Amino acid sequence: MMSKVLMKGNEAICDAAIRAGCKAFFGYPITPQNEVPEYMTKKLPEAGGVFVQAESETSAINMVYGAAAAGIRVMTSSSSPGIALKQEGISYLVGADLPCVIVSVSRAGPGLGGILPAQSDYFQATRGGGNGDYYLPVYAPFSIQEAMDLVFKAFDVADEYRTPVMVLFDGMLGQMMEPCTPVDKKPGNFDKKWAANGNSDGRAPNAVSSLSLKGEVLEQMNLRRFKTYDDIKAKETMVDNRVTDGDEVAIVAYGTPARIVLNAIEILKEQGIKAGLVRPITLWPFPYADFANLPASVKNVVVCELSMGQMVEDVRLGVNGKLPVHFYGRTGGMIFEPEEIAEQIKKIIGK
Amino acid sequence: MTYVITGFYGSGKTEFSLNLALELAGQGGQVTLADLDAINPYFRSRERLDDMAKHGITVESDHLDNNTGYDLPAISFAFLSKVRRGENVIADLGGGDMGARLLAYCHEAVLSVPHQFLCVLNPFRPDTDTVDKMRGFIKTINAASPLKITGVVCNGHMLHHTTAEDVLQSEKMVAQVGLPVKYTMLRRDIYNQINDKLLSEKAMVFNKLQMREEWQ
Repeated sequence: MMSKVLMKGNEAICDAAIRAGCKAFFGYPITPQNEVPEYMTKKLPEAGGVFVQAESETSAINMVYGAAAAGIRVMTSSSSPGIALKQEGISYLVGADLPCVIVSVSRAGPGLGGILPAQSDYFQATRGGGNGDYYLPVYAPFSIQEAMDLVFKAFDVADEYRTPVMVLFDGMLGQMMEPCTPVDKKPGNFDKKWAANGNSDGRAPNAVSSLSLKGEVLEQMNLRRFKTYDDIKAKETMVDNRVTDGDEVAIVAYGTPARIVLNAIEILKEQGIKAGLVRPITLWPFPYADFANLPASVKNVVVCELSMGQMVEDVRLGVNGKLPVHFYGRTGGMIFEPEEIAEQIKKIIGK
Repeated sequence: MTYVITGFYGSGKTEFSLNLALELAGQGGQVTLADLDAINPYFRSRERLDDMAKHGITVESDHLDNNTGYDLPAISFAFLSKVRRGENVIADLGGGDMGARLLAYCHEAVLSVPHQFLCVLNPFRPDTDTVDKMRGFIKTINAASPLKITGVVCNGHMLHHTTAEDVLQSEKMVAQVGLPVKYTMLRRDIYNQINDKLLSEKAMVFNKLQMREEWQ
């Protein structure tokens, strides 16, 4: 047995989920996340869990609802159009305060789009397409090690706040390999008194539902849920902010593009231009404060995404008009090169 | 000679196939690299079609236009005529036993000419990280494919973090599988440190990974 392992993002997701105590996985195949269900079909039963390939994404997310209601740690995964199909179920999970982990390995859209990597599902992840007032904590790793750590963490956060949690990848991160060390921690232990898992001990039956027909009751539930969201914002916001005093440009990117931007920053440094990366790790809650408090040396903010510009809207909210916020993106599965980013930055700052 | 290359996902099948194509092209003669990966559309040898063309290597993949964005099992079997003519052909399969099943369509041509069916092994990949697991993996491939694996390629690595010790340790494990170790794949600087200690028949030395960008 080797001490270190070389894993693909999609495999790392599963390894971390099983270590976090995930005991049920429901999914449906779609490129570029197929290794997730494939891995789970072999390894989850070995770990004492259940794997079901559902007949559609919609049924998969409703199976997640069932397992979560029974108090079991459960996960599903899909890619862009598949996540779109799950939106109804996600809204129902929120309405019933059910914890689960949803992995989204994003590909190019809209519609069936293509199979190559993209980040055009930022709105889908952070704003959602389900009905009602809700948010999901959304984690966006940029390395395979971080993918492992965040998937593991996602299960604890889901249970602690009784909310679905999404971990958002782009196709490249799902497919690429990196050396990593599997998580060697104990998953959190949560007493799920609310779970509908049998009351042979004589306690009153638990009911799990998102239906609430009394206006005054439903409003109180929404207010309570948004108090929880305030809690999540205060305690769970994560950002990798590498901008230091003296940097003239802040470049904002998450996931795979953040890796490319780090190389672009090196190229710019060689040419005497100081730039720093701000990498949101939680896309919701978004690290707005980091953009309100950039060092005075920063004169321009540039957001780089594999989309037509989605996270840039949150960056503008954070910067709040204090600085010009520019955007550079590629779509359709095309990926920018470090040199390309460096050129764009130089154009933007007039050098 | 026809070379058929199999292995676990991410074992380095494509990286090895591209390097083998370059080595054979360097010796002169026609070389065709057949990208037969209908399992996973990311990191396939067709992505390096233009680079290979510069070395006179033909890359064949689907029967459409070799686009890297296709997720279609539209495999072209045009390369089989070259197999039958005895030209140098490298068939780069998709991952695992699912990838090897494609051989049901082309094993007769391969069996009619001198060939090697090589399994690329990286002991740092979790599904082939013990000698037993490697043997089990080879059994799975042999069960799924009408061709039987004739030799193995040691590709023990941790990407940029690979050390000479990692390569030597990997070779020791791969040698215990019980099949001839035809090649060991390793970076030039590591080769320079340990070339007198290698156990394999041949070293496949590379300077830079073909399938990996610097930012990856």
